[in-house]
Amino acid sequence: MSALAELQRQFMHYLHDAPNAFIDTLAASDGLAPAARAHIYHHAYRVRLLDTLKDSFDKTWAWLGDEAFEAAGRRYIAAHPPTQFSLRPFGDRFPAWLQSAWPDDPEIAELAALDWALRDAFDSAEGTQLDAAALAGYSAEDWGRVVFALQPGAQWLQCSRNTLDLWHAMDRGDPPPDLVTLAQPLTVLVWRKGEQPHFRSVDAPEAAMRRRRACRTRRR
Amino acid sequence: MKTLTAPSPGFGLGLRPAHYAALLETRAPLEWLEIISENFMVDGGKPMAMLDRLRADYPMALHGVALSIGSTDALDRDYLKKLKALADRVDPLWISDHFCWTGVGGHNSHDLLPLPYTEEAVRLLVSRIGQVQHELGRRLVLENVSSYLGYAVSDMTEWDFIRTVAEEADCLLLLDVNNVYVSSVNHGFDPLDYLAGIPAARVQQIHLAGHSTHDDHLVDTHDQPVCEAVWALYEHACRMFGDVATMIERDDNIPDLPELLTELARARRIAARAVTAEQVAA
Repeated sequence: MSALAELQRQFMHYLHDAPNAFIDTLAASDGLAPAARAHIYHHAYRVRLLDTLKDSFDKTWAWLGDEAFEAAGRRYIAAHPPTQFSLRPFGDRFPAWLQSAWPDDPEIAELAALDWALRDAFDSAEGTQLDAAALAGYSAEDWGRVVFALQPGAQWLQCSRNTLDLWHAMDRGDPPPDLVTLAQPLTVLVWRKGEQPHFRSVDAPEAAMRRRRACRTRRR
Repeated sequence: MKTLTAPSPGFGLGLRPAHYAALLETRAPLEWLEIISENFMVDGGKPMAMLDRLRADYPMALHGVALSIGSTDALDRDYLKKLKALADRVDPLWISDHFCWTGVGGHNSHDLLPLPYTEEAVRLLVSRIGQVQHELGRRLVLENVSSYLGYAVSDMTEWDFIRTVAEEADCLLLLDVNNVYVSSVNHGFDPLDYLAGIPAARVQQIHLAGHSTHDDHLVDTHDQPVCEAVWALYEHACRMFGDVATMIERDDNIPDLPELLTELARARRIAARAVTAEQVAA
């Protein structure tokens, strides 16, 4: 390994709190000691990633509060340090991680999944929206062949608790509702309409239709 | 002075979502905008719609933070492909990134980490800049970063390092005057020595920004107005490098657009005064 590659490896280990001799590679100089200089980067790495999580999961952050969210964020950063050139996908495993961290409080991971799905919808690819006129334009022959697809970026989520009520209450600045476990999990559709992400609950018949369609798709 | 750079388009700002509405409402007195490349490497939605709408009104430069030109990992071909696609969409004035590395071993710090100033690092940068310039079909513009530490192994100054790399790789420079100032305080060098070491013919762009002040060091936070010491250094830079495209970077604590335009007007006045003074002296 080249001297430069070894120095960079030591620096990354230092940022990740892995065993390292990074401080020994630094020049002594006037002013700050080498360890204090290195610490500026150590601190900035965590603050930047925590800020990214706060930006991506604003309702989850509001629900957990600063202290619990930052503690969870720091553990997530340690478990899943970023590997991609963009910060954009950094939070993709955070909802699942929260589910395992708080198995008895599923609304936390459900809020996070909703935050993330809204984020995903925001900058998803453009799709063609079908309106009534477009549907009327299909011939009887077309209807035998036509297969509908959701817009890119659209996602189905499941809520076991009244997480949507919690989301709406926080969005309005109202006190949170009492949390209850729903008799049946609620299906939620998240998508982008124009430039704005949206979500809505899906009633049981529509959810059932979706499941049947999913089965048909799988059989093909 | 023989120059290698594209003609200066004038004065600009970094495009930030907080200013989308104001920029769409009125044609602001800006000659160009700088965009953060990675923010527009997404599939669609509002970011790409805003990009296309504002590009119709303003020339744009692409400014990246993720090229990691100084990493000992292999160049990220997927990233380069996305950068090329964005350049094809925007037809930018130029494409810039930083003299730094951002990660190694498949991990990313999402920070602009400093390089040691060594012959080995020069060789690595020259080779990789050559590959990127070949891929993009144009000269790359690279910016000096703020730094908070130095390596024992460094055996040249930062400005000697940058000059050597720029000349050997035949790339251009984005001189961040705030970064020069921040690093001069953190490392105890004279910022005028730094400017004197920069090859004038390669300076394509200048960045101005604010920083935060701690007890014994400065941090490049882009959350404050440009400070008086940086304005003074900018005037020196204008005298040394002439008419160079200049813009203000603001990434946090972002004020309304008119406030930034007022700050940019000061840059215009300083540059006009400095360039006139140099012409009289010549």
